[in-house]
Amino acid sequence: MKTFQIILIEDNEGDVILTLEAFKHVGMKCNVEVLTDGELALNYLGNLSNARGENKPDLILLDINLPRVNGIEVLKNIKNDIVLRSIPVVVLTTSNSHQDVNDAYSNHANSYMVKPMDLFVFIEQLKVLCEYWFGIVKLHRAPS
Amino acid sequence: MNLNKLLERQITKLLPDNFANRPEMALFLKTVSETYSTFDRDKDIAERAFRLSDLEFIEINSKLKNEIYLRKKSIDKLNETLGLIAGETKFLDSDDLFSVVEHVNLEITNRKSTQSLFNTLIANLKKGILMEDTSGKIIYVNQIFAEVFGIGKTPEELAGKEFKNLLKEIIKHFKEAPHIGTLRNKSRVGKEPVAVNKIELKDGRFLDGNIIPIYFEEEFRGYLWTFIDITESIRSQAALNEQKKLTEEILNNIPADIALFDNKHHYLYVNPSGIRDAERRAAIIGKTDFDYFRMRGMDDSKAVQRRGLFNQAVETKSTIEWLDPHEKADGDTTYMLRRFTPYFDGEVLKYVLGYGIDISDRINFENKLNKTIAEVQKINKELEQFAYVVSHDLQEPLRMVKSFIQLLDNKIGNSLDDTDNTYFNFVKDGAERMQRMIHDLLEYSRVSNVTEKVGEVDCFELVNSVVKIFRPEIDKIKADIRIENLPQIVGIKSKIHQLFQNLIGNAIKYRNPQNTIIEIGFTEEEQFYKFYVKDNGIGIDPKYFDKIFVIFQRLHNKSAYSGTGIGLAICKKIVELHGGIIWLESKLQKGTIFYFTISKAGF
Repeated sequence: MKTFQIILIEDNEGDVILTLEAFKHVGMKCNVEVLTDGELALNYLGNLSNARGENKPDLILLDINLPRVNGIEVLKNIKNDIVLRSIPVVVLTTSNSHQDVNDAYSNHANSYMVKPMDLFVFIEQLKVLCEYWFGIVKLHRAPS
Repeated sequence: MNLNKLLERQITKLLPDNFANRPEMALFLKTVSETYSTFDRDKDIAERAFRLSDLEFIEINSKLKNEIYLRKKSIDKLNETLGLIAGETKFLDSDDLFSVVEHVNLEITNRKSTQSLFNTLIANLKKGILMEDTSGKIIYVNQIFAEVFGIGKTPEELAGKEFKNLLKEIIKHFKEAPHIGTLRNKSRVGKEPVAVNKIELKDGRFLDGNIIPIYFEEEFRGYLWTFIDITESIRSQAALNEQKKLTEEILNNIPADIALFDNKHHYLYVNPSGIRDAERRAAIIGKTDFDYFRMRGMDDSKAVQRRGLFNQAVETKSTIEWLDPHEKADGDTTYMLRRFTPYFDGEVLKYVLGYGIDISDRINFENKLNKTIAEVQKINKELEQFAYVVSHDLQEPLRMVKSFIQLLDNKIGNSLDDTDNTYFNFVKDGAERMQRMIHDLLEYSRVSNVTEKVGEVDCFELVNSVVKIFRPEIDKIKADIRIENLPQIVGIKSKIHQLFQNLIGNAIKYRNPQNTIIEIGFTEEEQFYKFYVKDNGIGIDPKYFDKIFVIFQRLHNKSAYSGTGIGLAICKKIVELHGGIIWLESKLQKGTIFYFTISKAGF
């Protein structure tokens, strides 16, 4: 079974733990790389771009409220980068404000998901998310 | 010589007012005038009669009397003679004779009526008069004179008696007797009347007296005494003065501006409240508001405004009211409520009453109240915003708490002992409740945060869809839901939906377990619709009627009835948003009726 590469850009330690915990229950092999602020994320993604897409992740989970550089800025960077723009970016946040939702989609976010109150609901949603992106849809492939 | 004029002069001088104004008097004047005109020969006497004093009047009267008497005699003699002639000689034609007799009779009749008119005139004088001749004998006295002094004798009995004796009687009535002899001499020597005014009598009456010396053809003939009872006029004058004083007192002290204007907006009167400065107050009489404002060094704008209002009051024949603000030197504003009220006599404008009261306190209070209301509204808005932000931001840490509790439960839940488990359940329950409260708080703060458009709402359809939500429970408890044919209203559909949902939900929640009946109906009023949701449930104690609309106010232990106590607070906000009010009637164990109104005017 393929191990999926996932980048989680999230500053809240608790959320990181919860998300990692949830991934244990999605029933797929996932390798999650955690980046805890916007600046770190930009550096990491910059390196990826320079490496011309080598080790490109299968999915990016992005929080909006990030210290230093906020999530929308990070999203803009990804979607303006010719190498990175094909990676699906799912915004995963507590904010359900229209402003944030619209900003995200205007900047080509692939999905917008509000973190639910209930852990079990969260696990369930994450499961569906992985099934969708890793099972149902066809993703961009680099020319071999 | 105009006899009418002369007579009028006499009459106004001597007659009671009510007598002088009567139409009969005019006729009388005419008759007298005509009578005199026919008597050419007596014209001189008559003229003199009117020119002379009261006494001469009488004297001439008696001269006339005498003359008439003599004439009558001569006519009798003439008749006799004529009879003799007729009988003996037929010297004259009998027809001629007849016309001569008739002429003479007519003349006599005329003279008699003239005489009696004069007698009537004198008899009806409200003055008591007495005439004394040079020897001190009473020549004439009228009835009134006898009455004034309570003399129990008729004028006829008094005539010819010594005036001296009568005077003694008269003086007894005086509180302080004037020295009659001195006054008498004074009038005779001065050849003019001497007045003794306001003689006080012992019985409290007042008299005005006159001693008039009588000169006829430069010869002294005696005195004419006149007395008139002025008690009543003094009393009514005093009463009038008292009333006038009271009115003045009121007008001077009343805390209201009062002015009277003529039909051309000239000041006839203004009280001290209207114009404080006494000099200006006096100067304004006969002037207009234009003069007044110029006096105060102001431009014409206010006078122009007032003239407009004045004309408006006159044209509409009604009271015009306006608010007149005036900024004082200290920066405060005085607000005067002013009025113009026109007074008409038929179609003719008599005068206009100006009236003004200081309502600054009321206006200032209103302004303050409006300011406070605005502040409260602002604070409410801020509170809503605050509630929204707080509840929104609280969700994040709460999610952490909840999620990690679940994570912990998953990991160690099975290994906890009973005590740990109890504690752990408190933690879980607390988190659950907090989540509901935050959720409700968000809901509450969103009520007035309307993004949805106001539109037509079919309440019948809406309530039926609300009932559908509760259908499973309704079926389970076999509740009887009765819905009237509800009206179309103007409102925000989702909010009205929430309103009915909360009220019907409450009715089901706090139901009578045996036999649940819930009725939803309405009545239509002029300005609004009044809806009701009626149940036969457990009821609410009246002492909690106010509390139940307060957010998070619960009446029941949460184990008996779940909920955070937000439903009715939201209902109240929704109703108020629709320009209505909500209230209830309830009896414990009998049921509750919630009423609310929805304005027809929209909002």
